[in-house]
Amino acid sequence: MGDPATRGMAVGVETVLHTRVATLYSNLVTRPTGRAVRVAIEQQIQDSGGPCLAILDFSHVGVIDFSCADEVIAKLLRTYRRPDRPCEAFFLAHGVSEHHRDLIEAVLQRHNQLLVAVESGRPALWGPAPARLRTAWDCLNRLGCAFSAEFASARGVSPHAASSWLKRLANWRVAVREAGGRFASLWAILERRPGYGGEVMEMSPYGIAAERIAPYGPKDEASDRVAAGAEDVTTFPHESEEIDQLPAW
Amino acid sequence: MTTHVLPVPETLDDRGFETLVTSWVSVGGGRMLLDARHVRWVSPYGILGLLAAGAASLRRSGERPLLQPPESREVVSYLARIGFYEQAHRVFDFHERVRRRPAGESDALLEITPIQSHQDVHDVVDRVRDRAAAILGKRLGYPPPAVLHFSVILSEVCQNIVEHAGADGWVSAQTYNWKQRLGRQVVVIAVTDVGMGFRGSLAREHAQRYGDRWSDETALEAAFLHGVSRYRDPGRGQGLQGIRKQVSRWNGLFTIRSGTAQIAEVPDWIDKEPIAGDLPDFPGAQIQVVLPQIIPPGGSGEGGRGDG
Repeated sequence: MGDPATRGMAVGVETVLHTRVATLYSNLVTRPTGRAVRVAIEQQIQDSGGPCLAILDFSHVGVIDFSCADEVIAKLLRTYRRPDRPCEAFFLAHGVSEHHRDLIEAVLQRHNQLLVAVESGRPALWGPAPARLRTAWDCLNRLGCAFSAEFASARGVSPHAASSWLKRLANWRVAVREAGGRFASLWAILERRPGYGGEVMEMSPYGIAAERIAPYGPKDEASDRVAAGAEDVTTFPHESEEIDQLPAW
Repeated sequence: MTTHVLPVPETLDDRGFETLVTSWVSVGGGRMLLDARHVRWVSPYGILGLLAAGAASLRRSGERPLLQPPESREVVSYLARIGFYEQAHRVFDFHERVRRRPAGESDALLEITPIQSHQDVHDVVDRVRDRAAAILGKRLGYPPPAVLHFSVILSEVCQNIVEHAGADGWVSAQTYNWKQRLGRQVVVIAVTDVGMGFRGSLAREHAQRYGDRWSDETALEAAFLHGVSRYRDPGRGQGLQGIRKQVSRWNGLFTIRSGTAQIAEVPDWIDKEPIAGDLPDFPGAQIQVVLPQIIPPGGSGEGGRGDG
């Protein structure tokens, strides 16, 4: 997962939010329920104040239907992927069952969105990712964090292509662009959190869920912080042949 | 004013409902008397269809229709267990004391339940879970996660009423032995309303695009096959698509009747047209999902697949 020393320099995401998706209802059905859950999560993100990684905890969710998954997952991803997003937020699903996966995958397909989910203690990429994008995501996930040159070397592509791939991952919101042009996987960001044990996470209820964790790296780097995804990466530089067709927004 | 007598078929299932609708249409206006005295067998779809016929008559004539309840002791007892009489008294006038549901839970998977709000959908999903687990798992041989998928199906078909019908509706689910058609047990979900129907729901957004071809049939095709919805939100319309996929995985039957047409996801164990038009015009939408018992490998017969 990369060198812990270099990981400590990351500054893109400062806050990890634990959001219990099942606080209001154990069965997530109907659109109004989905809207209520989404609004609560958006409020937590807003309250967190800075770029954040929101962990969507499905541990206590029984049934989730298409309407509710659409209201929660698809609309959160869509809102925070838009260039005019309210703030910088990334999402990672946790505690998901096979049933949840079926439903969420269907919704992701419908909206052409990607989501990182923790399955059996490891990250997985859900949604209609083209094969090459998935390979790039796997590569960054193995590295944890990487500059273009490191990624190019690991992937065996040119630095220009590596840069494009990393920007694409950030554009899909499944990686975070950090200070100095380095990119981090969402999993790497989660692992930085002190005390994170990989499998078990302590979840906080709504209202006190925003857990601000200390910014990483020396304080004097703060001014260099580049808010994750702040740069508009919807327009790519000329892509090499290795880049898959960018899906339509 | 004349009271028109409509005989309710002895076997009140999906075919019986079509017979009932044919007579309902032929009568036109006026007060109706639905004569169900000779009913010998009812399915969830058929009995909800009877309620729908009553509700549609009330709307059409402004007068509550009369009902002659079934006389068969078995049918009477079954209808009491599934809560028919409580709902019938909201629609029909009938000179008989209210037959309350017997104390305790019935053996129905889901008694006849009115759907008027999203909260009703929540209540249905919450209520049905334990019973569905027992029935789907122990009686029909479905794997444990099936109960979650089953709940999603229930939720989505009920939401169809709240989101699109513009009128109240009912849902019911029951297991029974489908001896004649399949030779095994099935679980049946029936949902009905007498609202605007699929054509009415989709007309504002989509009718113009279809021009002269716009009909109940094309509206059903648009929603059922292409996931089209009355809302512009691209996330709408997934529910029916998801149900189709899941029911197909389980080798089940999924039909929607609306207006003059019916569309179906047809399994290999039934001979049925995937789409039918020129049916007698009846308001709203009538949905049926039939999930067959799963026969383990080496067992006999056709029907459900155990890969769900």
